[in-house]
Amino acid sequence: MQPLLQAISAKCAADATLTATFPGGLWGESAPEGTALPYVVQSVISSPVTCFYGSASRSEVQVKMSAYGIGRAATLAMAEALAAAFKDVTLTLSTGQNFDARQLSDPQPQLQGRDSSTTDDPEQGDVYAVHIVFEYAVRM
Amino acid sequence: MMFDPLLSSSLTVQRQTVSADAAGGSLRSWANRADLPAGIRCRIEPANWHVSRQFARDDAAVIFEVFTQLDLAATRQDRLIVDGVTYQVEAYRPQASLPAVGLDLFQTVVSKRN
Repeated sequence: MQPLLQAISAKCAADATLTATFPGGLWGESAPEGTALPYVVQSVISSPVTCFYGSASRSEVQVKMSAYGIGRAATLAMAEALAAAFKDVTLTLSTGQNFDARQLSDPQPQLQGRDSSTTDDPEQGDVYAVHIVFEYAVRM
Repeated sequence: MMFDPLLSSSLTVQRQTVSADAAGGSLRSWANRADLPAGIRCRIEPANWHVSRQFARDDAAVIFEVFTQLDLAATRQDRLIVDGVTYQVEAYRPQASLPAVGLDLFQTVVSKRN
């Protein structure tokens, strides 16, 4: 699991489009205090082991990536950049092999509430999360 | 009683205009309320706080009370800019008078995430 999550983080950090689109960065489960919007939060939905052969195993890891930003249309557009960067892209792992990757869901917007944040941004407004689920087949 | 020295901050009240964005979400823009002057003297004090996990982010949501001698008639469509810092209006108490000293005060409850 850890090599896959590290590879996702490394890809985000190395992708100039994503770093420009999400200056708040990519975080696991929760962004730290004071992180400015927009940012991405990733979490593992499930990771069943689907096949064994001796000490080798294969798992199907579903990872939800959620883009957080202000405005429905703006956050959807940012999430499309995230989808474009990860759709059908296998990742290089430090150990094991990611041999298949697919996007399981289209970007799904969800209103999170109204921002009255620290940034004093004149665009202060409604915060949306746009969720996309990816699945990675990993051989360990 | 000299109350003025306690009103050591100044505020401006802004009201939102809401429009729909290209995907049907609400977009808010803000402008100073024309029925109120800028630079209204006030006093702002923190009232309470709680930890908020909204937006998948750990924040402290702090509630402040703002006292003015001018009736702001503020609503949740408004926000206050107090000494350059933005606060969201949560509630408004039309008159929080201090009759013992013959003073009219108006109380606005605002919030801010830190």
